[in-house]
Amino acid sequence: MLRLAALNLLRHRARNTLTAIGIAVATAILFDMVLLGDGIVHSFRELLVSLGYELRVTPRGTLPFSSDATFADARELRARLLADSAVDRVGTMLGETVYARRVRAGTGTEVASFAIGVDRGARDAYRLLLGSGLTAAESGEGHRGGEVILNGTLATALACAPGDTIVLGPARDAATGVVSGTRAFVVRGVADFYFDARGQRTLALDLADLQDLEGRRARDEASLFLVSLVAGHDAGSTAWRLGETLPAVDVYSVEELVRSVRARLSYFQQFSRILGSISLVVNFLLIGTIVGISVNERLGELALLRAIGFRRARVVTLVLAEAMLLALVAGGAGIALGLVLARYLDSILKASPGLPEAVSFFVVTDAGLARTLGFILSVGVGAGGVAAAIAARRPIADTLRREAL
Amino acid sequence: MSKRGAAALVLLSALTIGSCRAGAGTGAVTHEDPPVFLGRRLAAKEGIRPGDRVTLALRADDTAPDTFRVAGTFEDPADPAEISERPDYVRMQLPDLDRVAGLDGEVDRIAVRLADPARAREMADQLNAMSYGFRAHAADDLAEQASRSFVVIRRFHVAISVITIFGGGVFVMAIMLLKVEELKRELMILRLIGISSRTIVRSLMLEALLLTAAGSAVAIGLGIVLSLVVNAYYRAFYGTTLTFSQVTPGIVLLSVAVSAGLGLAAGAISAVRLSRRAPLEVLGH
Repeated sequence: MLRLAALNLLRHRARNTLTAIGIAVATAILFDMVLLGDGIVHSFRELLVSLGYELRVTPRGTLPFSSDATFADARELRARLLADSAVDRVGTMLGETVYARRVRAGTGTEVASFAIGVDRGARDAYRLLLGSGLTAAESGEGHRGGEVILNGTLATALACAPGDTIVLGPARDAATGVVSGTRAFVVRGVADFYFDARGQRTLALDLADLQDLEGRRARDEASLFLVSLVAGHDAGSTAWRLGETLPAVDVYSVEELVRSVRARLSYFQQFSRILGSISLVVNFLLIGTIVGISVNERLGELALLRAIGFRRARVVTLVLAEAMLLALVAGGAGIALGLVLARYLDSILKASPGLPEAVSFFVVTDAGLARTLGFILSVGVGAGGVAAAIAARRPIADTLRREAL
Repeated sequence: MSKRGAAALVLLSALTIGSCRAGAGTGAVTHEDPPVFLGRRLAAKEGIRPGDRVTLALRADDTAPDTFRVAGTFEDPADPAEISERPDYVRMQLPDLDRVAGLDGEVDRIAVRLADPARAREMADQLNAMSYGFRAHAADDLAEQASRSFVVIRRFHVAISVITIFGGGVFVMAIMLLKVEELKRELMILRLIGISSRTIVRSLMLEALLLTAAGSAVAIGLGIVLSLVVNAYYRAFYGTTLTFSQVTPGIVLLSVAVSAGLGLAAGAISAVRLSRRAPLEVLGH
């Protein structure tokens, strides 16, 4: 039956090839929309999970680094978090804008950069590429500071390498334009900061150093806690419990953060559903049209087959096999084309400002692949079924008289 | 809006409106309480009406928040850049915000209305040359900078459009080949009785053009309907008055032109393909 279906399709190579190309293009768009539907959420979740912290604690009403909001008495808050039996490790972070300039002969211009103050528990928030990293001394009285880690973009902007000295300042004076309150820092490394957007300039330094620089030491301010849990403890219930006991903070598990990202990027999900549905309809029309035309041309043949003993069910199966074969072959090519197009479309969307460069919109998953194949097969069955029903219902004698004789 | 200002507003609304729910409508409104205006979305969410008293503070753990009188509500700004975040807004007098948030006279931006708006860029350049510590922008330039996300989305939509046009063109080609195949005997007979190949090719191109014109008309009608549906859906989903989809004369003209071009090309290719075959060879089959 499959061989017969294939031979029927090959009878009109030119038009069936063109139709198959059309189906492949529509399938490629369908596949890409299936990937887009959950791609960025999946990618964001993978990124969060890869960092190894199950919970994020932020000032109430904010998301991590979504505003300048901070909480005071960070050390006390950290101790209260560590007092929970489910909590294994807590990293403290403070985020601020600073102005950085390399120290060398002559003047240089300051570049605005995003500075992250980290304590020992938060040093997994970046991956060191060059250099020795920040020293492991705890933030506190008598801490050894004066060191900084740069991301690649900032290192290039300042033409810096490990061992060079840069100057950081907290603010630019509105009247004179001079960056005041500066301090010198030695570059101890270049790192990859996981949540950097394209072109973002980021640096990390000791938490106490950044608090001193920004005048936040007195209140011991911080922006974010990263919390790692003891194995076996559920993140969701721990987040709820900590949120109840600490009313000034919001505690997010990975799933809750993913939900907030999903809500903020809902446009792409809606768009993917709309365009995916249209692609399905187009595929249905394409397959239905070409199989319908093919059946119309062969009504006499099909009537002859029935006259010599082919049962109705076999005729239906033959037409369905044609539709399914066309859907599978063209659909398979479409999925391959979709993989290529996904990379191109991903490169367009990843240029969105403020989006972490490590996050992708189009993520290939087994579930996405299976769903697309399922859609294509359903469309093949549906479209082929309509044509097959027409072919099977024709009265034999009437059709033979009109078509074959 | 700077992060500091946004923090103030988000925290003000998220942290303390909860505390004001208990106070809303209870106790006497004192007219010494300074006025504050709430965004419609926030007021509806928290069940706050004009005349209610609310407390506002920068931190959730603030033990002495300031009390304000809700003087009214306003329509939340329809800002495409913030649409998916759906932030809550509170408006108040600048000195009041300064006091609550401890801003010490800091502001994020100063909006300037010019007597001659056409001189906006010139004035911006003059201001930038005068002093440090701030940047002046013409409103148009600022809008362009703030639209970078939408430039990316536009490029994405254009890429999808090009791909679908390619797929559509291929299918039009397939349909025209089919059409020519169905009519080959009639067309060859026309050739045999003296109708030139050029005339036959032109007639097929015209047929393809009419087909794509009809398709364009249906597609434009469908596009207008879909555009209305998309706008209605997204406006309800995001609670906004923004326009998400628009069918403009330019888009209609472009669609018709592309469609006509594809039709003409498909008709020409299929007709020329047939005209290269000998009539008797075709009729013999």
